[in-house]
Amino acid sequence: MIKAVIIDDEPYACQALATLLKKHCPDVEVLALVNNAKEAVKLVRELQPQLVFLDIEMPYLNGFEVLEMLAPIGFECIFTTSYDQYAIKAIRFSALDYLLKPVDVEELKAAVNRVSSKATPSLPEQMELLLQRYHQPTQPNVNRIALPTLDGLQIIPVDTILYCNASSNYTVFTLKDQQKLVISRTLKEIDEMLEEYRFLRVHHSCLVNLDEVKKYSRGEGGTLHMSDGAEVDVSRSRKEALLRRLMPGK
Amino acid sequence: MILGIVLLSGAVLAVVILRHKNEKLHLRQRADELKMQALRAQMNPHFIFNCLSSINHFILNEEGDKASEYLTRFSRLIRTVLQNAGKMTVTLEEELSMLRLYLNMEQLRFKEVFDYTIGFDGDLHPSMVYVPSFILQPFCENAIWHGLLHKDGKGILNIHFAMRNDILVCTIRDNGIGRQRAEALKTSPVEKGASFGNRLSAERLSIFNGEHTGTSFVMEDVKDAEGQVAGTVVTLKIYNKQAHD
Repeated sequence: MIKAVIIDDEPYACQALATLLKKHCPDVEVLALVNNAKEAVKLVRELQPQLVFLDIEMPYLNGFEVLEMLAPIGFECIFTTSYDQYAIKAIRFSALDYLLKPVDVEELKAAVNRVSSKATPSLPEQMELLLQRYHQPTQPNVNRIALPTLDGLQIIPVDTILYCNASSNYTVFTLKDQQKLVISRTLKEIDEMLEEYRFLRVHHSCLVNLDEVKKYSRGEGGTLHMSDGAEVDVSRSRKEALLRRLMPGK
Repeated sequence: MILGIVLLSGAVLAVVILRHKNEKLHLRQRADELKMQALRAQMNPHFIFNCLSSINHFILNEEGDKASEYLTRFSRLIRTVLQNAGKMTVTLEEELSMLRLYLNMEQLRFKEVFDYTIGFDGDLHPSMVYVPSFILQPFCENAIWHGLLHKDGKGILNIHFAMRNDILVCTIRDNGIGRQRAEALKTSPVEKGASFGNRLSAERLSIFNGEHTGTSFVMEDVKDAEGQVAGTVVTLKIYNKQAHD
């Protein structure tokens, strides 16, 4: 049994989630529903649950602030949110989990499944990443990104990424030290995660770090020569966007 | 309000013609953008409230699971629409994920009286093609409401994309009752005006395309082997602008 606590300022949202869990996730035992963030901090310390469903938008203390007060974190956390793109980005950046409200049964089952099949608990670094990204977004030399690999998790600085290639439902990262990482996210998801940084999708199957481009040779779409010697084809429809990003003054 | 914005952009345009020739083009683009914004796609309010009524129906019938499923899907659609609302263009990939959510809702509402397919020519990558956001939905809505719902037997909606010389050609084909019979079936003034969404979309599309394509939007009958009307096909041409960011 996974012992869980649900934290959400809206009582009905709490109850709805408890109902879904009872119906569809027999492995989860809900110890308590809490509608007040301050009370939640106290209760989590007391009950020591293995899993916390944590609403992000709450008055007085939001979900992230609740987490900060509970550090070091000794439980798995699934965030819940109805509409906060900014928070969702921070969560995905840290490879943590979230559910959109109203909660979809299949998504709930999948999220609970990920918790129960997890070999190792979430790293404290992930929580740090989350809070850092939340407080001061997009500084590539400071920011690190958590990437789910086939056998766990890799945390790397954003500016060590050279380029990313799509490989069906996976993405292959090539890093500055020529290390290759196979990440279980689609290129589209990676593209969204890195959109505030100096990355551009130059081809349907390739996302490049523009700071690692050494040379561009013209052609139909043209070719990028990367700092490691690799050549990347540019798709015709992305040529203009690429040139604009490479030569912003023109 | 819409009229106001269009008038405003017109006035801005007039001043500039007297000033700088170089700025003219830039301002023209801005005016087009404003016009596009004024004509921004919005979801048919009928659709929204009908969805809510269907959910209410499931609740009253004590079909809790069904109501919950319906509501969850509906909120997913609304969320996607809100996310894309501020954007002039979205990738075809994003447009289609929104369209699928919409079509799935319509299937749920009408107990699956129709099926749909979405297909591409081989060399087309939806993640690399940009379209005005929510441009396809009104044409599909029209095909379902005025073509497929009145039909006996299973309706089919085929949506297909091909790229020809930088122009995305989209065909939306239904095997419904055809335009003429659909028009005759319309009774209320509200229904008569139901193609308003279509006109709005067609206008947005022609502003988006600028001078690059001839006709952006064509609607034709589909004829069967005997020459009988066997549905409607809409062809949209969307100029694939190279500048997007």
